[in-house]
Amino acid sequence: MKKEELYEAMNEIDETMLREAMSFPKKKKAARTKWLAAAACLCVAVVAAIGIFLYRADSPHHLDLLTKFPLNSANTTLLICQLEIDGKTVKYQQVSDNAVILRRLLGELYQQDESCEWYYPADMDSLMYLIRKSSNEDITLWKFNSFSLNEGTTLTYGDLYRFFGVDSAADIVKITTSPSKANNTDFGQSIQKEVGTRTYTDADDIRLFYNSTVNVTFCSETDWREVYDPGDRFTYSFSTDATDKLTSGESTYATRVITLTLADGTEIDSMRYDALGGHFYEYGGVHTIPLDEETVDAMNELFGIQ
Amino acid sequence: MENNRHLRSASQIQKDCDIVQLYWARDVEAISATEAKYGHYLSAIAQNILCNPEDAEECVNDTYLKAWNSIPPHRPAMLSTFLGKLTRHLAFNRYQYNRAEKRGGGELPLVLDELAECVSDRDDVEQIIDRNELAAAINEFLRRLPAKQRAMFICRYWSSDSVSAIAARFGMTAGNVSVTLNRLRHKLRQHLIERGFER
Repeated sequence: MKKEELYEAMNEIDETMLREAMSFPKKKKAARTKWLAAAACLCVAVVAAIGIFLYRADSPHHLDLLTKFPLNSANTTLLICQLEIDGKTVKYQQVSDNAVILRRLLGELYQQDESCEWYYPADMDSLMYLIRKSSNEDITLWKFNSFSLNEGTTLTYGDLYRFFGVDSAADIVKITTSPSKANNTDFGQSIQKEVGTRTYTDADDIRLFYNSTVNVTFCSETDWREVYDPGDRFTYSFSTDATDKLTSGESTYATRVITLTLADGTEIDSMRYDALGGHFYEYGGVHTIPLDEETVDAMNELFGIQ
Repeated sequence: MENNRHLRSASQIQKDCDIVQLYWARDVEAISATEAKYGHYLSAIAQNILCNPEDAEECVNDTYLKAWNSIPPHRPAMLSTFLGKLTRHLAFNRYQYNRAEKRGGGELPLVLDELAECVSDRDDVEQIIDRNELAAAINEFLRRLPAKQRAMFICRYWSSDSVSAIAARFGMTAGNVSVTLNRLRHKLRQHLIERGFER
């Protein structure tokens, strides 16, 4: 097909969608300020440790803010809420209650009910982060935690990918792997340094990872104990007979913390790979079904695990 | 045919249904009313494509003529999009004529280059594209997008708005707009492949 044919065919775009697009609300871009000293000073009295924040001209300001302003130090309880999104029960965890900052980051309204409204952060339409505004004007930031996997629920990494708008490997621009930090002794840190952080941007590598994971099924919250085998299915050059895998360093060699960077800057950072058990698992503790040997070999080769 | 003199003057008319009624009544004030309400909008569409004020004005005037000749029998529910499509089609034809004559510029060459990423950009004589089916596939693709992304896509590939104009309109950086549009083009390509329009 010629590009001109595609262009001309767009003349038949449904008129309702055309009109909606033409009347889409115009936004003022949030003013880019270099320092938030005033807001930070206000928050210091409430939060134990707040750094001075510097906008980087080359990155969306709100993504920087999201990682800089933690929960109120007086509240260290992990708060989880559940939302119904596209027929799935999704868990979000609260990551910030800094209303002064969050009020400036309110973007498009996502959904609402009697008690609160949920917004995208400004300039974002990914569901990785949502801002909750309650009826009493309390504003908090929530981050995707996991899907709620009740008995009978079957979800795959493909469902997770599609949740964030990833329909193919082409939607992933970078994969970053780093070693587990479970063992932070001097010994553990030396192994972490040896394993190192790797970045994958080659399309073939990304496609391999995507194809190897898209159909991997999550265990439900009730059946994961039936499929999870704490024993090692695979052995490697670093495998030992020690029962305490942490101090032996096995876990650090065998585990990869995986971050997927999408084209819009969204980072999916909950994935973990365990070469000893030959399966993926999530930061929140959700496991996947064991991988077949061919997939384990492919992942090990990709991640440099031998 | 009735002459609806009880209608207000063209400069005061705002509702599309009133303007369409003028066309049906064959009242030439329909053209004045159309120009008053949609002249700037149609000029912007034509200018984005042609980047030449004279050619753009000519396309807009042709739009009024085509509207006069097609209403009736049409009775468009949304006059803006009805007229916008006419202007876009006329302007694109003019662009192709200008390109053959080695004239013109504007945003359209960039838009077409971007759309080339979605297709093979070959004349495939073995594959006759059914335009209605292609249009249906494009509409299906757009319906599945979030509203903001859909609006951005339409602004770029239907209106030929520049990336900077889209960034200003949606309150984003030009870089973010480019990245978002790039991702949408990839998705469209995959969508067209799945539906057999591309291989």
